[in-house]
Amino acid sequence: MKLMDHILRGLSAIVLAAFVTLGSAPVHAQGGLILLPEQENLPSEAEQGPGLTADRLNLHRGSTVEDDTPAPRVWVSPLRLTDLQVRRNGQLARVTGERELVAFDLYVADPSRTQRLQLVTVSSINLLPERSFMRVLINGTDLGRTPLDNFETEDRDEIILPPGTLRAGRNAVQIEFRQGHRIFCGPEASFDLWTDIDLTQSGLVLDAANGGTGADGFMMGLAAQSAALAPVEIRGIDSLGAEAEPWRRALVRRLNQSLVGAPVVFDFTDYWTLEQGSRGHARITILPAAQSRVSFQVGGDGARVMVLEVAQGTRPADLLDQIPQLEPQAQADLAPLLSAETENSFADFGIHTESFSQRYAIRNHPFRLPDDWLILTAEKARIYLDYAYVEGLPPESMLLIRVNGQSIRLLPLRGEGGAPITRFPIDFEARIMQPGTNTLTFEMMVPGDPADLPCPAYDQPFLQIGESSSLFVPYSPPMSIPDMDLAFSALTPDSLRRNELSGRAYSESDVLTLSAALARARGDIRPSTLHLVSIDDLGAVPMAHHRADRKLLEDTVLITPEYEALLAQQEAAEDPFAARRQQERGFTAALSNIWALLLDKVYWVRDRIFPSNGDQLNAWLSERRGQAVLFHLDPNRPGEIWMLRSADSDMTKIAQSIAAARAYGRGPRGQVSILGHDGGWDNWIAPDRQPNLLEPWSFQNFRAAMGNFVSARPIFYTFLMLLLALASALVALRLVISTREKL
Amino acid sequence: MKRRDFLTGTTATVLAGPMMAQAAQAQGVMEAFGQNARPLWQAWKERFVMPDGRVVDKLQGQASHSEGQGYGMVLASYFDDAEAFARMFQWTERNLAVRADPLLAWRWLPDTVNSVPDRNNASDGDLFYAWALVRAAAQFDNRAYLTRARDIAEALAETCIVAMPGAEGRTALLPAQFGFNKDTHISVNPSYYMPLAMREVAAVTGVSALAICAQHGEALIDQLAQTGLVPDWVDISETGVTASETLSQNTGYEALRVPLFMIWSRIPRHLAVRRMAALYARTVQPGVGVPTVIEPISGTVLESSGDAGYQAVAGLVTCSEGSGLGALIPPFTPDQPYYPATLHLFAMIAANETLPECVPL
Repeated sequence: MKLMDHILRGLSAIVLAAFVTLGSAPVHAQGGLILLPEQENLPSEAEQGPGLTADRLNLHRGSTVEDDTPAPRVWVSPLRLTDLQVRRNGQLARVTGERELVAFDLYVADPSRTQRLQLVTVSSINLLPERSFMRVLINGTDLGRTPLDNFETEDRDEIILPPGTLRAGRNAVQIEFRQGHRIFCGPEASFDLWTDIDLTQSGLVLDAANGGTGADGFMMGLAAQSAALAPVEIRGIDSLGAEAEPWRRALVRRLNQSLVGAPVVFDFTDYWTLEQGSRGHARITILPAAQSRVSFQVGGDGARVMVLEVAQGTRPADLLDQIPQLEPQAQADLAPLLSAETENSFADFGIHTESFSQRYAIRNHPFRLPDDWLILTAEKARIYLDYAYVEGLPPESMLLIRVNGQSIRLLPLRGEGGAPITRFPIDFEARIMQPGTNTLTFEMMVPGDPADLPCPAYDQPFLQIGESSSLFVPYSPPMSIPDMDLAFSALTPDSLRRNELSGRAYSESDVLTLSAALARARGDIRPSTLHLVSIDDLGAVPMAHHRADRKLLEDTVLITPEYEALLAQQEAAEDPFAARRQQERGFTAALSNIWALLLDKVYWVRDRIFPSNGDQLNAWLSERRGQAVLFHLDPNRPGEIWMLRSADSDMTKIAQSIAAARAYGRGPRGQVSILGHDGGWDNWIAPDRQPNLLEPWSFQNFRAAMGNFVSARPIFYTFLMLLLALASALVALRLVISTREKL
Repeated sequence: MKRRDFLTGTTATVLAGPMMAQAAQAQGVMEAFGQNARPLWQAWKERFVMPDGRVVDKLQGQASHSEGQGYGMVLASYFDDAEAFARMFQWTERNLAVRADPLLAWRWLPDTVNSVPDRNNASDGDLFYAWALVRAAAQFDNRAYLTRARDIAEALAETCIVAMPGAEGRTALLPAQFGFNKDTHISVNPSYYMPLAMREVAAVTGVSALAICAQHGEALIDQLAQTGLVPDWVDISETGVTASETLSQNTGYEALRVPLFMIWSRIPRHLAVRRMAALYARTVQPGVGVPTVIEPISGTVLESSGDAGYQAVAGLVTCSEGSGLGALIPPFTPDQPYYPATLHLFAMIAANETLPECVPL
């Protein structure tokens, strides 16, 4: 203050002196400044007062008027959603249903410095506040209930954590969402119960200056940076010259493997960067050096920085293996592999005893069969199900079991409630299963009782499925069949290929986003390639003998659902007399319909005998629209997939669907797969694909292998046998006739 | 990890080969920087340069200064933007070159009848303007720029370089033609000395007084740093150098440039830099503002700012102490006032030119 007074006194003197000067030289002065209209009239130095410098003194002070005392930055170390099956829209994750347990990872650098956990949510107005809450568990410690009552807009709830709840590094957070309907009860009402949780704002609240450093601080920053699906910057990788590529691949892969949940996208930049939107939370900076080492620092913008000093010839693993926090997580593993000819218990393939407490619930469990396992015949597989459900469930309660989306059994949940049911046999056709990734799905529905009143309070699960249940997979000779799953599951970031034309449809950022999705370690099984093609380059996609119509293909990705709905609306509005004309066609129309029906039948038979006809693919394509299409039509290129994307598609969503398909199955299969606007994959399997026996024919494999061959094209082989029989009969007849002639 | 190792590494990888001449290396590094960092310049340009070439300081009542024009043109020359350079040059010639001598009026005010009410000059603005012209003459192959630079350099030496009171044979750079040369003393702003600019202008124009003055300026700043941080203003009289009686005695927004300009001028071990580095090492923390006004003797922080540009200067100055590879220079953002934004780019250029190991972490 004393100093300021001094300055102010100085300024006063300056202004006063200026006025004195003005008084003595009115011709030259104006507003405290010396005017120099003409050089020859310049005032002498004796006439100058210090007033001349008053404005100059403050030239740069004004720069900081707004920002003298910057507010300390607040950080949120966010909850990182680990389950890719939870519906997500940008930074919001939607939890639907009456009771869901959602898992998150939470990274903490220094547990002693933080105690505040905030949850930012907004819920459906259908939730009954008295019966709707979140129950938060951190590392198994129950932190109690927080009501779900933010209905209008996002709002925050805060939980103060007891000491000892958190540990340094990765913490397991589970939030149980209990959501009761205000009015109704039952599966349909379940869909109206939702809560959106903001993944960027929900987490531990930290003072930026005390956010913690070290590897844990970096992981915390990494989680924060990727919470909004924003790219993580990797600086200076090009400084490694020829060694940049292996480092690029290793970093994308390792960092994606070490973080569970949505793929982490990276942005490779120079050292000199422009801040993008908001300040960064984490990045990686690479510096060429004589000796390799890794350190963790806090950057000038507060971002947690992993600094990699890399000497020539250093392998990425040499440095990255030194960081325990970058160990791959369980999600990076392949789905569990089952063995044929044995009973595989559910526990063996990762299904632990499952409890269902909702009126509607669906659970997917991916598993893998050997790549050379193939059954196309009517051979049976069997599930021995151990399960139990409560007594007195409403009459239409049921459990639907599906394999790869096909229903194999509907179990009514009535009559035997209250007692465990063990080894309940469920037979299904083994051909539903495929080599590679498969999915076993449990879908349970318990109607409201009554449906037009809120559900009664009920804490116990309706249904439990035991981990002692098992799946028997029958024997298959080693065989293969063209299918994109094998190539899809082997894709890695190195698999991506662009050409000149596709460069316009896939930006560098798109490729990096896809790389992140493919970095989760399903790859390295066998070489595979994902060609990224643009709509101008459809000719590059090998179609083999399939005659896919180019326009239909274009329409698949160009016509959006909104546009289609608009077209339908216009058509309906444009011709009000169309219906009447249709009625007036009368007899001619009836004849035409019969003819069309007959033709359909003829085509059906033709397609079964000569299934290579491309019309089936075109008919399938004509009814579908999507964000992206994957092609795998040429059986001679088993390791290659071609991808076409919609011009207005969001690559982040495509990448997330790819990552989810690789983690949970139900991904692309067959020869053509369309990623729908709902994020699901719709697959077309060519009817003429031919199995291939991978071992010599033998007495042991003959029946099963021949069965697969015939089952692949049953009508073709039926007609073939018919023709052979006919030919044999003709030969026999000819032989009889010729013999008789001789007699 | 040694800094030399980083240099070896970068030279081996970024640059082509060990036999390359040092000048060519520097040129190569600068060209690479100019290309890689061009989006930063674009962002600065879009934010602060009007279509007619006027560099606007919004927090100073939308005013423009000869300093801002000079700074902008120096940046344009570094980022090889001939078009932007020409626009800024033309605006400056049209609006600030209104004096009878070749120097520029220090300020232009918008929305007033008389946009240049004060025709006094600012020697740092003139210096950067001349430096930009010298650089542009070579960069854009334009002799007219060189002619204009020579005129300014000669006028600047004539009007603003005076004998330093009490120090025979030494010269001082006055902040302007008028107002700072009193009967008893002269007032000097140490941050107006930019030795690199003074030497390069002198070398190209032949006005050797500038180079000599640069050398004397370095000595003066070294003398000031003996007792603490370099203040914004000092008075020099026959009795010696003292804190300014009427102007800021603090190490404030003006003097922040002193260590930056010393590093940029290839003197990173200058005492003024080391003094400031020690202060930054003691006070700067991530997420907390950087000191911008400091009591020079005690080192008490009087003001701080969260603007990224000041953090960039602090990051560079701290890195110059050689504590390790990399500098805590934040990414450039145009979302800050003109002055820190400009210092931000200057810090990046200085790091790239003088301390290549100080890349932003």
